[in-house]
Amino acid sequence: MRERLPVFVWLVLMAAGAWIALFRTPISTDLTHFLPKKAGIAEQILVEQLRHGVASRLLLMALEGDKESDLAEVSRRLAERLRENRAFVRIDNGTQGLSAADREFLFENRYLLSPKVSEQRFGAEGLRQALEARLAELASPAGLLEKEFLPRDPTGEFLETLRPWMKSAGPSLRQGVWFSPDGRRALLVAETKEPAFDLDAQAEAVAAIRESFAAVKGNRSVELLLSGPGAFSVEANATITQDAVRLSLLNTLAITLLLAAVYRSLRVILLGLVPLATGALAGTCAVSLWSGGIHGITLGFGATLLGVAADYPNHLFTHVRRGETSRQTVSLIWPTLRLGILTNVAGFAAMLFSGFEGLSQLGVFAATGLLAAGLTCRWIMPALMPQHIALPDRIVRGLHADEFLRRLSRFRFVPPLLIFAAIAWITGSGASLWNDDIDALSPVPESRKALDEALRRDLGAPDLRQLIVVTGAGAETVLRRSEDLKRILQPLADNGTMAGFDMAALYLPSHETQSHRQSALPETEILRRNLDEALRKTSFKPNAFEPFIADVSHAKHTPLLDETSFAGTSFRLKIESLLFRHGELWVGLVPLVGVADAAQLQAALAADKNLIYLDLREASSRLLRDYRREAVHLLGASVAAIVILLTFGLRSPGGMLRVVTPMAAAAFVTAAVLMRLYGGLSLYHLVSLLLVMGLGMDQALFFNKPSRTPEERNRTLLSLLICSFSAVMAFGILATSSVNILNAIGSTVAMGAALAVLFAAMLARRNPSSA
Amino acid sequence: MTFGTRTGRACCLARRIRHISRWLAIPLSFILAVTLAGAAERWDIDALMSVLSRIESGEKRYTEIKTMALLKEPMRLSGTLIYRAPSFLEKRVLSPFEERYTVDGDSLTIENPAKGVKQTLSLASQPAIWAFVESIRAPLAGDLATLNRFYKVSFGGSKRNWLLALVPTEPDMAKLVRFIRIRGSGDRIDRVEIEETGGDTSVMTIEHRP
Repeated sequence: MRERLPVFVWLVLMAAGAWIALFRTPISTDLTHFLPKKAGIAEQILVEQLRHGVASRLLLMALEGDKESDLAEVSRRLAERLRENRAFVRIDNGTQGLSAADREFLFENRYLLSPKVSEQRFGAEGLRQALEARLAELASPAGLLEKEFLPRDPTGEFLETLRPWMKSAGPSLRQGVWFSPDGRRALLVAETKEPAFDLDAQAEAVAAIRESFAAVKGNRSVELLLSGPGAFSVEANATITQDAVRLSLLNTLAITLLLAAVYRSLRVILLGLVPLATGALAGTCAVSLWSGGIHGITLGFGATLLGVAADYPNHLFTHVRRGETSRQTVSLIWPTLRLGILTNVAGFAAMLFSGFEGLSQLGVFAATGLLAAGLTCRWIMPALMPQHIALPDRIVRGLHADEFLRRLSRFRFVPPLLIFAAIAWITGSGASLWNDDIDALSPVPESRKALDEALRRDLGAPDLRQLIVVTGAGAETVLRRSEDLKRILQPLADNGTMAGFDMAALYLPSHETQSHRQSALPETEILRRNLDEALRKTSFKPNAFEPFIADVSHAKHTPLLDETSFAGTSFRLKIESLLFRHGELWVGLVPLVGVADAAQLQAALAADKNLIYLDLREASSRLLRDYRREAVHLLGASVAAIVILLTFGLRSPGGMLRVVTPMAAAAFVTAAVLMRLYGGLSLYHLVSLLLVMGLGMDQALFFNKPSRTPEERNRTLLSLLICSFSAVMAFGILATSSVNILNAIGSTVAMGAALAVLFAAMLARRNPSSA
Repeated sequence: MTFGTRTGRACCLARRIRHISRWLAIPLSFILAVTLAGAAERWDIDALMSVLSRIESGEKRYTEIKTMALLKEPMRLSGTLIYRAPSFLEKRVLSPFEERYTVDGDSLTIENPAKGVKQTLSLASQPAIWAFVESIRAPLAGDLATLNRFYKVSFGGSKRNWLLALVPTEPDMAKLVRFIRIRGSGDRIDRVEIEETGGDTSVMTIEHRP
């Protein structure tokens, strides 16, 4: 009964844990976890934009084919079909101009919205010039279209209110639909209802587009290209999942074969998974209980870090001697195992103090997971293990650990030297060790990024890479500041410092501006006098413009427009995406297109503190850099904790050095080589290096484990060979992946694990009993 | 001799048949000529389209008179029309100001050198303008299918004086234009009259004298 008790407790805990993990743990992909807890407004807006901004919800479509008419036809039909789909807020391919309601709104409010409204324009001379221009338009065939508005709008304000909307109307039209300037691609834009990080919704949207395309395409030879953040995440998710599944199947097969050759027992192989599974479950639950959910990245990176726990059962299995119970074996290796677990846990515990939610989650996950895996190994495994594990004697005897280690120990000066060499190599390269470009983390292949850039350029869609954030206490303040900003930006757009910009104030003037315009409109009697004078010299009939006089009189006393006035028009979305409330503040976004000279732009903005220039790529890279820096700093604290623990645990500074040196050498050499290979280490490499250090320390501890007999030392060596061989194999297989995440993790760990075991063997303690 | 007589008789018969047939041939050829001429004279819309479609290119002067409710007196314009089969059409206003409209395939270019304006747009994106363009271009190209796409077409008159009446069916166009009448003779278009829904009219006369 006493033997069964721990197993019973373990089973209950596992069941509870599984319940928590499956039903009570929301997996979030919320990037705010990777914001420092004291993030500034710019960072908050950055993350908000990445998550919910219009840019994150755009899917760009391009149709390629030989016949222009086919492309136009498919574009039209595809758009029609997708407009019926509720996954999309908007489908644009150039066929839908402004709706009747939109035009009416602009027309009715033309005297508040037109930037050309001024006193001069409504004076006798201004009106005369306007009438002459209208007369010339009447003569042209296109005059037919404008005649409708002429009696009400002789000064042409309607056209002025249309202008900003026309300018953003996008690419050139061929056969009535959007085409790239070279005419090779028909272009469409879809705005999804859900943001890019909602993978399920994005996958549905992408599938809807592909299905609709297949349905309308018929037998025309047209190809569909799809781009945008949503399409990327769906695609990346698919390739990562596919690669991960394929490679882990391969891994499982390879490692099962290896373990089967050594242990020749299915039960033992399956038992080997128990500590790892327990650790992963415990880690998930701990994070879930600690912060109410787990981040997807924590789960992925955490599972990687738990790789150390895969070694624990091997240590146990290989040390079981004939005629010895598993309980005795466990008590033999437990001191070493315990020290390894404690130092690792201490290392990860340092992450708990991180200012980044994401990093502290990772610390909790890894520390709890390893602790749970260790405890499982100590208390549960012996009860589950078969009475006897028969390792082939030939293998155990044939290893000659003493001889092997004695030979290797000649090279014991190599690892410390390599540390210095690696540091010299890293600092000597002159480049930064870390690559903090957020693009380095993106699993999207370069060719797809190039396509995305090309499509955005053709569509004239802002990539929302660079923007200016205007803040203020209210919408009116933000609009006024935006109008001031416009006066700064317009010359820059004209002189080519950038291609253009967008802002809410282009469409919605501030109250100040609107009332200014209103007061520029003349009183009815004055207007009538001015108009009569102007009409005398033209061939228009004297009473032709009575409706105009009525409209101006009305506009002079009409209520001013604000951000709510656009409800019921298709302008609402645009205004809302550019001007919104953020907590206490109002925020205006000013996306910039094609910034050629960022320095000049920043210099022009420096004077005003209410304007924040934001380069999304730079800012997100900065966030990443802060995250990475904090991780590296905490790593320093971890190493200090590890050194102290090892010194006390091994009761000698020499023993501590034997353990720390191979670990450090493996990490530094791997870092140096990878840095040269990849041109800088990314966050993936960093996490992998943490695993390398964990593995290295664990192996070094076992090499320095006090052993009674040569046979036991052979068993230890066997255990370490199995561990490192399986790590190198598993991560080596991962390194063959084409996905950069898997490739980075795989190559780092495979290389680091191989080096770690080699260095640890070189520095292994010469056993006194053999002397 | 007998033989000779018989021969003489036979000879005589042949001559007579020839004689009769000659007499017959006159009305026969007359009937034939009348029938053939009738076929050539059959003048319907297909025949019109067929003769128009044979025109490869041309350049003509025109004058246009626009009568508008807003104006005290009608506006007079003049310039040239240039056509090249199948889809190039240019209307060049020379007086009272200079302006040029060029249609080629789907694109319409408006140029006004005095204002420095040059604007190109896609006809398919502007249905009303497209319909308007086809009221002249489709007849010039003899393209009845395109005409039918935008207008209810009716046809009347003789070859020497025919009339093509177009009533817009394209909704945007129908809002603006009540009907278009095109008058001509043979393969020549002489006059295009447009009456707008508001009552304004425009009459374009094309000169065929060199």
